[in-house]
Amino acid sequence: MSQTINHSSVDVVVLGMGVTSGTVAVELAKAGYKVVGLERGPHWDFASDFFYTKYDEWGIGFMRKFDINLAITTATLRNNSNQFALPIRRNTIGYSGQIISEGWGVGGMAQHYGGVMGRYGPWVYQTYSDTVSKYGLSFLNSAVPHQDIIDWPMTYEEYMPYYEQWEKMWGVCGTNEGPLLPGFTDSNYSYPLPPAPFTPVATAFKNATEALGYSPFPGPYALASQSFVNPYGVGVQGCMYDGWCAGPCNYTCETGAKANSDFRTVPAAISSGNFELRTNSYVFRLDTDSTGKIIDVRYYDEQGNVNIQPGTVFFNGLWGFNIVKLMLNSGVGTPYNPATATGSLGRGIAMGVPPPVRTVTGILENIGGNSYPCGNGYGGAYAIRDLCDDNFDHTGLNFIGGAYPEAGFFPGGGPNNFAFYADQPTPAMIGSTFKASLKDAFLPTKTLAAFAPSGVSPPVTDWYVDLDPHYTDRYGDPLPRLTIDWTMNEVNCANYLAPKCADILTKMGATNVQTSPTVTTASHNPAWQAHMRGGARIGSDPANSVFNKWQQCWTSQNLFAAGEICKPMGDNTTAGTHPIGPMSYVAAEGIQSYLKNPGPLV
Amino acid sequence: MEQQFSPTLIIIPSQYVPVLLKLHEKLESKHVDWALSGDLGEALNGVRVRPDCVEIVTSKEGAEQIQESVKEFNPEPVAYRVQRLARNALVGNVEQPLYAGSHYFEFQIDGIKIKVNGDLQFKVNDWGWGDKFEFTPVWVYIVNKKTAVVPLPVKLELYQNLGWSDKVEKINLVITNRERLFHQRVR
Repeated sequence: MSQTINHSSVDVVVLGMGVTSGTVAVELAKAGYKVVGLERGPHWDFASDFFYTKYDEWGIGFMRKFDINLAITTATLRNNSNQFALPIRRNTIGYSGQIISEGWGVGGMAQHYGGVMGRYGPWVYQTYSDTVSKYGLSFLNSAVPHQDIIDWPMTYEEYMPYYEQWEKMWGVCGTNEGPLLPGFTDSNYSYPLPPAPFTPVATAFKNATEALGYSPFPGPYALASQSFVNPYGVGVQGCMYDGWCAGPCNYTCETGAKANSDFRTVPAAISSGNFELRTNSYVFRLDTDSTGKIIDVRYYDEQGNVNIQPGTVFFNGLWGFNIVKLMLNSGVGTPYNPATATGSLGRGIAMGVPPPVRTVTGILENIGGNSYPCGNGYGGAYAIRDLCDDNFDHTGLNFIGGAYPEAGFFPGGGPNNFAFYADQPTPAMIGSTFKASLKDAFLPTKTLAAFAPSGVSPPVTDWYVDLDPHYTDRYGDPLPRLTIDWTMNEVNCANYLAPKCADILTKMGATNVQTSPTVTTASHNPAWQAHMRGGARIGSDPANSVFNKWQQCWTSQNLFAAGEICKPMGDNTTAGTHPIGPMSYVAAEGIQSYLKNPGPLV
Repeated sequence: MEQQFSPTLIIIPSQYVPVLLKLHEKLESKHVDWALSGDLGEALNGVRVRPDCVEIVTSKEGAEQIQESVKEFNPEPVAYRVQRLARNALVGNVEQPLYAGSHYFEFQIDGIKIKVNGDLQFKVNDWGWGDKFEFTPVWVYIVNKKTAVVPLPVKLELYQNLGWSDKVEKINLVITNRERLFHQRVR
């Protein structure tokens, strides 16, 4: 029979044990604060979970057995507010449409992400003000009808020291990013670890883009290319396979070269003596006092007992929109009302890496690739930033942002094809074209190259997260409901960039270069995916943001959060993990400030 | 059951990291070959051992250059020293006294002792000195600083010769697990 268990109060309660939570936990624990970490999944056991079973390609790659069981909790999805949202019931990736990749267990989603990195550029942090000042508000409103874009509360320059701190801790591989990202050319700074050897496709891409006047640079990633120890004294031997495993975020990493909190932060937090990790702890409620201050968190343990954990500060590092779900179910924050475009919680949801709108494919023959080479994970790639952000003139283009062509790694995962990749390369979803492309890809002399420009996905007032009125999780709490679709911004961007991608492919020497038809509408997006952002965004105005620049909740000052869902805006330069690292260090600093002097930090 | 970590996971006390970075700062323009040895070197290779100091192996000239470069930490002068080690060698089931000879000095950074051995050699009992301790290092990035470390196979051979079976076992565990990882990967 289940019972209620009351725990002693601690300084900081960290919810989730993924990318941001691990950083906050170790920072606070090493600073001497008592920290409890609550993780709904297990602490994976290296030997039994990874060592002996790791190459179960079907189970890991497609059945997503390291993701949360969607029978426990999921989200519902619809493309507009007139539709009835249905629950997402399968953890799948790629061709089936619905893409989910929630974290489950210590390490979170980064246990099986691709490790692709890359800072957001300055434009991302000031998209609204930069666009309005350069092109005018009417341009922005025309490019993104119903736009709900806000600037980040800090500039890229202000985030730079946090980026460096993160990169040195996470073990980011790469070199100097080049002229389009400040901080890499103004100083001698480069990523702490060198890149892996470049793949033949990457080299062809580099040569082609240079010839076309672009500025290629080694695509940064977080699969340690060399043995590495971070400032916490935790590290790993370098990846033995030059990042071969990455794929579509399929595989857990038995060596730990693929950076996640289990191999970078949690061991240091545990060894500090100030951190207690509680696994199989499903957080479901924040309790508040009359002032809105959080007094405790409630969670179910493995036996179904209700545990109550009081604390001074709470860090909400749950996966994705579960941050929003927990706050909405707890009555914390001001829910967004789409009818009036007021309120902030659930507002501004957007896709971090939208599904492909158009595709460009070609065949590279005798380039030196085959189906089983080393050096074709997320390491060994080249990328260009020339076609993203506002790095090209948007006058008359009717869209903002762009895409991030990157070449050299392995979007298929496991035995598959080389590919040339911006978002998700899919020559065709199913059918004979797909089969033919796979057949081509497996020929040792032929390498399928694909490019899928999708454009940046901006927040609009029509998209939001709220609580589903019909479906609940296993414990009876309403599921988060996503109302989201493409906008014409992605469509216009894809239509503009597709020919440029074709030019690059042709310059690379590809044959049979084909571009999918021009798209004219933005509706019925079949996919949502893991890198959702917005919904609990940071900002400078409590009216349209949930957290301030220190990641501190406007309405509950002892609640902090960081994660993709807290981003006001993004771009396509990364899958999205890299920029949340700096956010977690900002949050850790903010929490320490709050603990020393409780109150609003802004 | 005890949590089993990857054999590639490295854990060292975090206070060693800034010390090693300071060492790099002092030595990176000096063109001196040096490598981390001792328990810290093994920990950086993934062996579960907790270091109590930093041990550096280099040449006689290297020791002198290092000593010159770390003057601000008040190092001892370099001097040839023969020291009987606390632990005996076990040769043919017979314990034998073990000696280390090197051009040696030590100093401290932030309370952590750093021992520098130039042209390190070992001797069992009154037998002749062994070869100078030479090897091709493996490399570990201490944050962003490429650092030479004595490779595990070299340590394994040393410990096998000294009959230190517990240390042999620990190193073998790491090497064996890594080999299994690799073979499973390419099967």
